[in-house]
Amino acid sequence: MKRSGTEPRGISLASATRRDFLRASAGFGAAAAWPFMWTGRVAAAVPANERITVAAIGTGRMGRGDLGNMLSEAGAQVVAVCDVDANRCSDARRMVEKRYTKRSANGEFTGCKEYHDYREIIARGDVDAVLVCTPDHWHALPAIEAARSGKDVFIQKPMTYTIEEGRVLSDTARQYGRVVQVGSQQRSDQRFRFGCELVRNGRIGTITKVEVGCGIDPRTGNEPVMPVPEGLDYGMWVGPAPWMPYTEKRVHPRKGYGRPGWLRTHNYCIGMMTGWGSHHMDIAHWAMDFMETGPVAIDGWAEYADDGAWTVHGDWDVTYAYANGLNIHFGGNRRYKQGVTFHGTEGKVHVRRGRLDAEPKSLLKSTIGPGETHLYRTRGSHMHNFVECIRTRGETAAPVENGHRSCTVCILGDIAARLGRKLHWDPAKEQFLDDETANRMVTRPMRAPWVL
Amino acid sequence: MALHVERMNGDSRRPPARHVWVKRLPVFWRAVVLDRMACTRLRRGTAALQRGTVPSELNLYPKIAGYCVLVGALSVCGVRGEPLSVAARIDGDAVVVEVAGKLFTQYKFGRDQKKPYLWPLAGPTTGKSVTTETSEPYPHHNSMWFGCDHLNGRDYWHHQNPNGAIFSRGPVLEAAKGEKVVFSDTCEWTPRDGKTLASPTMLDIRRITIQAPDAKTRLIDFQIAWVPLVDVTITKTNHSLFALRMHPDLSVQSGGTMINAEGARQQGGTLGKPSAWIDYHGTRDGKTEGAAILGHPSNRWYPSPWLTRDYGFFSPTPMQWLKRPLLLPKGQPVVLAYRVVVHSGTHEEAGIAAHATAFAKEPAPAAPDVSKMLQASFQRSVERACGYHFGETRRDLAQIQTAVASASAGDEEQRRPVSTALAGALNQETTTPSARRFLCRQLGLLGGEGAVPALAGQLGAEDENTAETAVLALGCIGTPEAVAALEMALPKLPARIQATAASALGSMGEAGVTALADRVSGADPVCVAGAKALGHAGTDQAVKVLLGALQAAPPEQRRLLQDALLKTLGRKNARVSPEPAADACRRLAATELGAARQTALLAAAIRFLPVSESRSLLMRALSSEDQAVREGAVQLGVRAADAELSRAVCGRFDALTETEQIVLLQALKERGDAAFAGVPRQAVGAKAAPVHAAACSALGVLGNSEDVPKLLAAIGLGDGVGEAARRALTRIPGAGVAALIGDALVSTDSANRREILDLLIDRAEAGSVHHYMSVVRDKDRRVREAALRGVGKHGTPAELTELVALLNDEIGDASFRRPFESCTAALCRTFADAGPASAPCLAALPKATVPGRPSILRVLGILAEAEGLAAIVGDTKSPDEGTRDAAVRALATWPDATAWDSLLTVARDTENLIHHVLAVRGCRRLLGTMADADPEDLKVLYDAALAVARREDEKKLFVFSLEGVSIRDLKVKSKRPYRVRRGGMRKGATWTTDRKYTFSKVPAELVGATYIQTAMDDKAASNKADFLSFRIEEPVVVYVGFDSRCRKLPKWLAAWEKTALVVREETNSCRLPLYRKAFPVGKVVVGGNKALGVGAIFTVVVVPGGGGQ
Repeated sequence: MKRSGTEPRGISLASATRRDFLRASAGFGAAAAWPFMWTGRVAAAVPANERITVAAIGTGRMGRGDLGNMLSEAGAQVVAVCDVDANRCSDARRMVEKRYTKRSANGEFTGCKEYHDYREIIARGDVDAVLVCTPDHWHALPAIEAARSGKDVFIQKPMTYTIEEGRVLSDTARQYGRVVQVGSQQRSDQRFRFGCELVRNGRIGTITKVEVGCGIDPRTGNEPVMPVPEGLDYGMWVGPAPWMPYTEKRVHPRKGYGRPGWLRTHNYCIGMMTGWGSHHMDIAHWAMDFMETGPVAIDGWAEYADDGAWTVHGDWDVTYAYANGLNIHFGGNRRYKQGVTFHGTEGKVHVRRGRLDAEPKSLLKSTIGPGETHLYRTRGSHMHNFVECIRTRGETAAPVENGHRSCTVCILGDIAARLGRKLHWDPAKEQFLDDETANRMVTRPMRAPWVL
Repeated sequence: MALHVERMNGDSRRPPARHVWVKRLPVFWRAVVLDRMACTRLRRGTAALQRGTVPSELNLYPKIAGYCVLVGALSVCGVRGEPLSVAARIDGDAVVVEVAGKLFTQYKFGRDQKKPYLWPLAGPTTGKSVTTETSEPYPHHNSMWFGCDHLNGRDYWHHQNPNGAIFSRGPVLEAAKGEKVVFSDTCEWTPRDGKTLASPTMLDIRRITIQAPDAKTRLIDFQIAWVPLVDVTITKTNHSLFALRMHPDLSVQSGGTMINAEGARQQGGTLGKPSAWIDYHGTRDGKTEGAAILGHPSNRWYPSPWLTRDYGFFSPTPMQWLKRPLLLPKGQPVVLAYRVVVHSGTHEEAGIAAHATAFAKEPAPAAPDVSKMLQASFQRSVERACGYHFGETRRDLAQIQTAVASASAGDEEQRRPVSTALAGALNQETTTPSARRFLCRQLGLLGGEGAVPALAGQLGAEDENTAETAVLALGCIGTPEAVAALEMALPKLPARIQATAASALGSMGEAGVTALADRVSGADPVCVAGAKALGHAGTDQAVKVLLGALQAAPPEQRRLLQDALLKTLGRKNARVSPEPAADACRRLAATELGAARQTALLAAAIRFLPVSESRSLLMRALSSEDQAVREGAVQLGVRAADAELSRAVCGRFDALTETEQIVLLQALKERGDAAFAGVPRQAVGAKAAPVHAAACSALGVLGNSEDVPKLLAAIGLGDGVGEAARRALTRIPGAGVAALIGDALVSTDSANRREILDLLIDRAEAGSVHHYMSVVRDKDRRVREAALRGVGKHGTPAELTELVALLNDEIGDASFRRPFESCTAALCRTFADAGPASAPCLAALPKATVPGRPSILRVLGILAEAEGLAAIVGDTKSPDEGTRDAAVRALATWPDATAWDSLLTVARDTENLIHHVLAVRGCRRLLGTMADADPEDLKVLYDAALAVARREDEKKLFVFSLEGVSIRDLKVKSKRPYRVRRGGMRKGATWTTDRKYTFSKVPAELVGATYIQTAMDDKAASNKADFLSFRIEEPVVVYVGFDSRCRKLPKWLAAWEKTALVVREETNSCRLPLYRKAFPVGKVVVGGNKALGVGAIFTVVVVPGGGGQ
């Protein structure tokens, strides 16, 4: 189905109010009306026993944010939290308890359980959905296992660490009929949607090139091996990735929820290419309708610090060539303007967080009419869209196959840059042509007991 | 005079020791050594004398000083033709070269430098350097150096621009003393951003030979092999290759001479001219010295054009005259040789031409064997990497990574040297575990014949993590040899690693699957890993093995194997043939499966089984007792490629629960096949609102004009149905749709009318305009307004004419007319091609009716064009009261100063108090817009307004003071402009010099004060305590306003008093609360603007008074 990502999908009921819900319930019986009748704003509109039960796997810097968003959803109830760092895990439990004070008072909330091994959550039959907000190298496995055990999945971007993991996750979700929302919330931002609709509907003519710019990570000094701190199950934290001794800089800060070092360690994360790329390249793909395909050639360059604890790329400049002749240029924001810039024969569209700009300016006031391409319109927040789709079983704003392709294109950039040569890619088979080393980088064998 | 005694005491920072040591020397040597020491002191002394201080040690050695001058004079008068001895040693970050015991030059190669360079070049006669180490305004001119700007966009020339650097790997002395010294160095041309260093773009190998053939001549041979490690492009630049920068005293500007081989002189004669050499000499303290650069005939570009400067720079380089960018292909070295002759006397006395002839006869330097060189460097890195411990520097590892990446592009031939080196390192006993793990990973990436045995050797490693890394690396390689190695080692591996090995085998193709065949039945971790891994393999063989195991497996293991089988079948790119897959589906269908697995099986069945079979499975799932299974079946059925399955699901629509119906409608919408429009059409009248809504939503994608009436009927419904219908109606394509919706406008009641109008406007079809026009006079205000909004957006000139005509009709009072007027104005603007937008209104004005004329005037007021102003001014004296009123109001809101005179007239002459007040307010507003005008001119305007003001409170509005404090010597530590606006502070005045941000509210105390326009681009630029300063001649109070969003204000502000006053800014609605401090006559210092919270800047206002303390 090529249609994924185009409008309209969500049933337009977000404007229904609590009163509507009650009325509907009165008219048709509560059971008939349960799927649709609330918005995130109207707390307690959903009977406790009809709420979606959610478990949060990974409660670090992003995990806490996503958990907070989920706690605002009236239609959901968080019943478990999981983190390999015991301190962070109990922090998250306290956060849940605090936000559910009201529900505790009326007996709707009876507690949130702490886990340090996500497999115990997968084994629970009473959990409907999971939030996977672990480090990147730990995205795929919990998500795949959750899907296989019949749970719906919210997964932080970048969707997976390797291309192969993404393929398996996408296949599994589709096969098991699971709802997956990838955390690329720009898909739910009306500026990005409208920008993409302008491009899709030819308002700036034929697209001649696309430029995508993201921030660049700095480098750091070296750091010696340290004893593993108490409360952290480091073996579990490393998980399927190659084993390395513990140092704080490569994992996460002991105190607070500052930006963790694993984001800059190649064993656990590709770097800003996937970090921000899976936001902006995703938008580029969305606008260009490349959501279920990929580039055919990648020519890339990136700087790699030859010293220091952090091993991901620095500044980069990657050119992707697509089968239709279009080139997407992807690089640090010193080269390309932060965000996504579409250059067309008749104008230009630039979009980034909080800003949409177009040339000619009049485009910003134009309307996308009937018969034109309307992209997916999210009602409410990205997280609300996930909860809504769990109920309607409809496709989410950022569905899994799109997430996989957006993540793939970013990883391809890093592979090409690491190998320092032009690579040719078959987006259908998801293999490189005539480059065995590059093909070895499509997947990464895992340490036991982890298997993809 | 061989003078290497210095080497016996390398540490020159310990003079007392040297004194002891000097005493032990024979008299002759002592004299010579003391000569050197005293010369050093003399130099220091001269410098000190210039500074006005005399070091005491000089006073202590007057005799020695005199003696040494004598000896020094003797030594320079040596006989020509007799070579002097030369010696070199490495001292810290420099190679120090001495000629006859005196410092001649130093090759400075510190890592903190942009590039290595040689300085000084001591003149043979004076001992003073003929070049300068640095000078303004070109501090990067470092005596004698080799560099290049615009090299792959990077700068390896100016140290002010830090995006690239030339790092020495450390020089090697080849000949340390004798008639000549020779040393070589390898340098890396490394791109960098901030602290980040990238892999070098180029390497250079430089060999420097120094000799002193006679007392008046020193020769420096500079050979360089410049090797691009990647393709390099150099674009036109005047900063490149070999260069010398003469001492200012010897420059042409100080009377020196620059002359080339052709005899052309100075910059004017030599710039850009190809020549074999250039000599640059001048006279300092009565002694003539200089230096020449000779190019070697073997050099590319010989004879090179020269970049020359009369201030002392000269450099043989073609880069300034490139016709197109110069490409240096990867791996092809550029070899260049130069000789620098440092000499006494003029070029003729020094015989530069003869030197050039001699130099030309010398053999060309050999090009280095780049591959050998790189190989050697790689080998060194590998050796060093063997001692790597986790957490230490990764510089050597990085070089290995680069080598592996580049070797992996080639064939076995290219991989072999790398894999041999890495394997060798692994075989060394002393190699650390960290290094072993690293090497294993690299071998896994590189692959090739050599990698497998090397990795296999590590499978038995003591360190479990090393063995596991080797397993993973073999998994990466995935060749049958790798499989064999893993399989052989498997039983001997530690238990946990066996499981890793089993899962690695699953990703190693057919051979891996075969190896796993016997290792899937069982409950131990290896079998579990093996079974799971087979699920990943996705081949016929894997299916066969798993099916076999499944049949034999005890119940507790079945789930695992079922999962693995379903995983294999579900892979998008599975290499499974249809028959085994179909067989597997049938077998699975015959077993008990949980809900999620049933869905997975159905997905596989739809893919692999013939439709007849998958249809019966689908039906079975649809009638399952489990709701999740039924929902999954609905989705999979509707999404199936074969429409027959979709039809089968749709055929059961009525039998489905409401939730399933919704899932079905949703899935149909996603499928987007209009052939299925019948289902939502049938469901659109459903009793259950959610189903109804879902049906409407689906019709928005699948439906056509037929469905419009049903959707229109749903518009007014609640429970989200109306909303869904409305959205569907905005999306259904087709020309007829708009007409149908438009027709409904008239028939429906007014509550729906507005909704319908809105969705018509959303559809943005020009053809709907007549529908809007049909209801512009609707009795419901909101309908009228919506209709006029639509007309304003999509109207044509015909509607414009109609609207102007309407304005002339008796349509209603002013409030009724207002939306008509703004709509007319919008259309006027849209259709103003070349002429004024007001043209249609101006044309209508002469024939305007009594009720229409004010309306037209108001439209002219909205458009605010010069053409309309005359008409408006004329009508301010109209006998008709309505017209006059409209004219005065239009004038009072006129946006620019062209209305000024007319407003004054109205304010003065009118008898209508309201008109007078309106006109006065208009004047006040216009003054606000002119706040940036010259204060003298403003004064005139204020006075004019003051004259027409009638009441006291009006008069207050127009009091203008020119008494802003005069401030001078404004100094700001910023490159951006800051401007003093004396007496300029008032509403409408511009806050910043680089943006059009204006003040919208100024406290009365500060109106008319002097203020400083600051630069917005300086936001959060500085936290210096003395960022901005100026002088005043009367005591003042200075106010500083910081954006209210700033959380943590700078420290310097602690001494200031917070006031309740606030300045407001218009564009960004900033509030700037003010802080105050009094200053006496003299200097006022204000700190930097950096404050946490928001990147906003401050404003500075100065008012007289306060007394100052």
